[in-house]
Amino acid sequence: MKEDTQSCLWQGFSHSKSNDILNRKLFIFTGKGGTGKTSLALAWAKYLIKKKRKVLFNDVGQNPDFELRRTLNVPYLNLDLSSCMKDYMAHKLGSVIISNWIMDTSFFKSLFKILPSLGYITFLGKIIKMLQDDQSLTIIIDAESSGHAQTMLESSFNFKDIFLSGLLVEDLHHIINYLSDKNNTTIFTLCNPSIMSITETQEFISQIYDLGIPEVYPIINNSYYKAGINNPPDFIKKKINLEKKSVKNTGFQEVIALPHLLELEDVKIINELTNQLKEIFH
Amino acid sequence: MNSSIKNKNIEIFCGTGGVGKTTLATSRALYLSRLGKRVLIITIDPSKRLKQILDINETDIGKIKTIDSNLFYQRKNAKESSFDALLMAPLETLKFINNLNNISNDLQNPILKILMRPSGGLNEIMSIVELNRHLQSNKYDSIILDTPPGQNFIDFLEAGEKIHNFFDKSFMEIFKKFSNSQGLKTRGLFSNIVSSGISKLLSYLEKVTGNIFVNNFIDAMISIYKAKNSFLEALSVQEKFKTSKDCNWFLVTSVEQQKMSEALLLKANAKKYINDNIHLLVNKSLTPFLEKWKLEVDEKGSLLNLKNVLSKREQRFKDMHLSGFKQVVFFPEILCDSPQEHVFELNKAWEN
Repeated sequence: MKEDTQSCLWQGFSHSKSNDILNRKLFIFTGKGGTGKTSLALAWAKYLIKKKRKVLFNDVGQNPDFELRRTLNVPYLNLDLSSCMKDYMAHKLGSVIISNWIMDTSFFKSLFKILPSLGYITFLGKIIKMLQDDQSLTIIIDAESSGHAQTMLESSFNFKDIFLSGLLVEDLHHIINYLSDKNNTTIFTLCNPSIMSITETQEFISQIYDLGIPEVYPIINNSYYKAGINNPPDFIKKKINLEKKSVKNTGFQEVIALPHLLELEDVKIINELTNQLKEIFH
Repeated sequence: MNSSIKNKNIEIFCGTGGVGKTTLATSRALYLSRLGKRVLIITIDPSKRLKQILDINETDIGKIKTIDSNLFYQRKNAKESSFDALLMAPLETLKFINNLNNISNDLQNPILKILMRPSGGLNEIMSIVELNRHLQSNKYDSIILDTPPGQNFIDFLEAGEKIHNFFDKSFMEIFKKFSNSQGLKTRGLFSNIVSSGISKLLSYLEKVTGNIFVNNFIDAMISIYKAKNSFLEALSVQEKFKTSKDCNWFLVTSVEQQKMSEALLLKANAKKYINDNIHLLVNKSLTPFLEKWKLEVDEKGSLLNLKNVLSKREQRFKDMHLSGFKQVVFFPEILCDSPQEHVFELNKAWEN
């Protein structure tokens, strides 16, 4: 990726830009492990719901906390990779019975475990179809951490060269077009304010951008320097200085940064994040 | 407090993402090497943080690299030692297996290429093969395994079942037929095997994915199938995971993240694969700083709240010793930006 595109991608959002982003249909949240993806994705859902948008939330490859989702009143779309694959096969072969039969053979079970890409493709395909069938719908995907999210996003690109024929090809192009259209899809990738975390995020953004997916934005989360602590003790001061140094040395000064929240309960954290998003995106 | 934990043949670090597994595992390698142990650390995690910590080049991935302890304490005058490190590259492991079995493969096969990518689905299985290979060599007192986060760790534990499934009876039959036949890529082959249920399966797959995929897929599977003995042999190593004589388990978590329930869930899900010798390592603990921090009388209000919240986060982990861990060990937050210095500071914490 060229450097000018890179620095352009890492800028914050201007007002007009943030209005644009709000109109997207598909939001994917990823990032390094433990950066608060799920909390921010849920806060984003709450924020859009408050804006009277029709929102569905889905996570990938995790053990979701259903009670938290119920408490927050975020509508949950319970799609998993293997059921998407089953539906897809049933649709393409015109028979639910055959699809159930083949998907339950150990041959296919191991095939999909070893080639998770096939599941990812049908999962994204199904979500995109839902979005196209209902223009008023917005879907938020709480994806896995960056490496696996990358596998998910790459899968349709990788496989289009392998499936030169077959019923899948057209569908692959459909997914690729949807992901590559910045009027439809925005990806947020989270990092902590440390050099390691930011560097990994920058690598991820370049790789996704190189696939042809244009709208992928970094967000710095958990920053003490944004937490507004007056007269902090020495060790917090030291933390703040390290954070600021990391952000500066990696050229991430313009990137949106969310504060470390001094809360203990998930619900309170998510509500506070929702308020933060309101201030950023209005 | 905790007497230092005795090293075992296999030491496995697991936990959710971003808690510092790799840094802690590396600090363990450094610590053991300073005790004079011969140590190998294998990282399965595709995020390759170890590469940054150990200053390893892209070209060294998949090969054993000897790491000099000086990397971690330049100008600190400590006794010199070294340990070996291996960053998993599934393709390198496959090449090794192929050499061992005298197999010449088309490594350009597109399915094989996807399978061999990091997080491509075979990483976990290949790491078991590497672990077994280096255990057999008897070159090491301890092999430290740095596993991928969360669900991918369970994938690692299930690698054995995956291999079994993969070489499942019906699956083997079909590939025997294919590998014995000439002209593998002719479509006519499918119609020749009408009696087998597998041919029906493949024909359905072909309908959806096209025959090029199916042919490539069969080629890829056959080449893996040819090396099946190496895979099946490696499975024996998983038995060792279950005995406390051979294997230490370290579940890593971090005060920063407060993912107590995730840690316990991981432990519960892993139960049938591991032994009782499981230690909870709590990373990024602020306790040493909080103990030194005395609030002035006029500093109540928000700073008091800060102190209370941070102390409460620590306390939650201190209470976890009741949850069936052999030991709960705290590692302090290291306030510096050099990853090597992190490793060095953490290595000291293993001593007590």
